[in-house]
Amino acid sequence: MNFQSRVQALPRLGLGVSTEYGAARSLGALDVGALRAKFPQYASFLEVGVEVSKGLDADTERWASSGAPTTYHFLDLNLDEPEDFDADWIAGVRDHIRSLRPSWICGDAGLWHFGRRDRGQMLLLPPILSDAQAMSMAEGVARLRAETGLEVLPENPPGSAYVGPLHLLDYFARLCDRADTGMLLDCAHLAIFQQARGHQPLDGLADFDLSRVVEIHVAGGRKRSVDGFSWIEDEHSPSVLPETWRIVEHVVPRAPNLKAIVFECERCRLPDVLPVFRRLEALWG
Amino acid sequence: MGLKSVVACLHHDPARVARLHEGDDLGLSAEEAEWLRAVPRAAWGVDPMRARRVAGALIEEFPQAAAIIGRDRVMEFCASAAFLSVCEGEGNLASAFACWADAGPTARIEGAMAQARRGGAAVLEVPASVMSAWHSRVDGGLAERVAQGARLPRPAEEGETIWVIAESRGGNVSVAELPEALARLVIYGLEGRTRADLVEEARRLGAEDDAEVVVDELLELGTVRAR
Repeated sequence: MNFQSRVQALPRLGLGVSTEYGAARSLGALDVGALRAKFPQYASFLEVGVEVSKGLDADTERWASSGAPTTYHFLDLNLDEPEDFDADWIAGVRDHIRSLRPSWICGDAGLWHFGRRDRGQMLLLPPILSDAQAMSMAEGVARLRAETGLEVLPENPPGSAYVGPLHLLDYFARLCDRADTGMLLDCAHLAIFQQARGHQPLDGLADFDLSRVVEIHVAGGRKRSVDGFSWIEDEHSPSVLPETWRIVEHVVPRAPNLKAIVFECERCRLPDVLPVFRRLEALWG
Repeated sequence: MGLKSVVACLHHDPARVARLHEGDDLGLSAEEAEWLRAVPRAAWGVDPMRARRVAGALIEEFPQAAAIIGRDRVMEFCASAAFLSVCEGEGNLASAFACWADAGPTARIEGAMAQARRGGAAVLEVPASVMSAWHSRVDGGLAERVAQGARLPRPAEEGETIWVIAESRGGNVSVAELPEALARLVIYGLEGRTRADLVEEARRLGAEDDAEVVVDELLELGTVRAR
C-alpha cells in the first residue's frame, strides 16, 4: 500500500503540544495538564520526545496511561546511519511504543549525534542537503517503518549552517518520494532555513507536494544578529515570527493530509500561548 | 573523517573554520569543501542552543562534578580539544567530559556511573572523604539547580582511599564500596578472561578456597564476563 493510501488511515489528532524527559518539571514549564483541563482542544495529543536510554518520565507515563493520544518523536536516531538501528535500540523503541501507543513516529531527519550513539548528545544538525544523503535518509525511514509498523514522518531540522547544494524542500521532496512517506514540516525551522539561504519564506513551496505533509510544527523564534550576520534562533517562545506565520498560513489550507499541528511551547506560561492556539484553531478549524 | 563529522567540528572549532577558508579542504573532496565554504563563515558559531543542549545533558549525568566547576565552565567543554576529539570519533562524550572536568574524584565517580550506564561495570579508587561527600549530596533536583547556576564546594580529599564499583542493574546505576582484592579481580576480569584465569587470579589475590564461588558469583551477576 503506498503512502497516499496509508495516510487515509491515520487519525486526525488536531492541535497538540510537545514534551520530552523532565520537561514538565523544569522551571517555567507549560502545565500541560492545566492546558488540557481548561482548553482540551489545544492539547488533543502529546508529542513525546524520546531518548531510548532515558525512557519516559512520570508525567508522560501518566498521560499515556490515561489513553490520551500521543505521537513518538525520536531524539536519538541518525536515520541515515544503519548502525543506529541496533537490536537494543529497536527493542527500546518497541517498549516505548507499547506504553505510548503513538499514532505515528516522527523526528528530525538530521544529525542527532556524532560517532556512536551516546545518551544526551542532542547535537541536532540539519542533514547534508544532497541527493545521496536524501537517499540514505529514505532507507532509514523505510526501515524504521518496517521495524515498528508505524508511519515515520521525517522532520526538517533547525540549523544555522546548511550544507549542500539542494534547497531544503527539494531535499525533502526527494526523501519523501524515495521513502514513500509523509513528513512533518516544521514551519519555524523552514523559516530559519529560508532566512539562512537568503530566500523568501514561501520560496519552493509552490513546487512542493503538500499532500506529503501530515503534521506541522509552529514555534516562536527570535531574530538575532552578530557582526552583520543575521539568523533566527529557534526559541520555542510564544512569539511566532511573521515569516513562520506566512508559511503556516500557506501550508495549512493546501495540505489535504494534514492530521496534526504542534505548537512547541514547552517553556511558556499558559496565558502566553493561548493567542497562538486561537489563531491556529481559526486557521485550521 | 567524513563530511558529517567535519560539520560537527566546524560548529565548535573556529580554528578549523579559518583553515577551511584559507583553502584547506579538511580531508574532504573539493566538491564537499566548496559546500562548506558556501556557508556564511559566521554561521558556524552562532547556535547557542547546541552548546546548551550538550551542557544540559552533561549536567544531568554529572550533577555534582558540574556543581563543582559551575555551569559556565561546563558550557566551555564544547570548545575544548577533548570535545573535538569526540567529534572526530574518539571515545564518547561522557568519558571525555569526566577527564576534562577539573572536578577531581567526583568527576571520576560520575564518569564511572556514566560508563556503567552504557553497559558494563567500572571500578575505581577514590578518597573515602570524597565518596562520603558524594553520597551525602545525591539529590534528584541538583541538576536542575546547577543548570540555574547553583554551585557546590569541592569536597575535601583526605584520609584513606577506598575501592568502589559502579554497576547498572535493571536500569539503575549504583555505586558501592568493595574490598581491594575483589576490586582488583573485577578490573582483571573486565578485560575478558577465561573462567580458569579468573579463578587463578582470585586465588592469587587471596580468595583461596572461595575462589571458584567468588568468580561464579561475579559471572552470574554479569559484573565480569568469561571469554
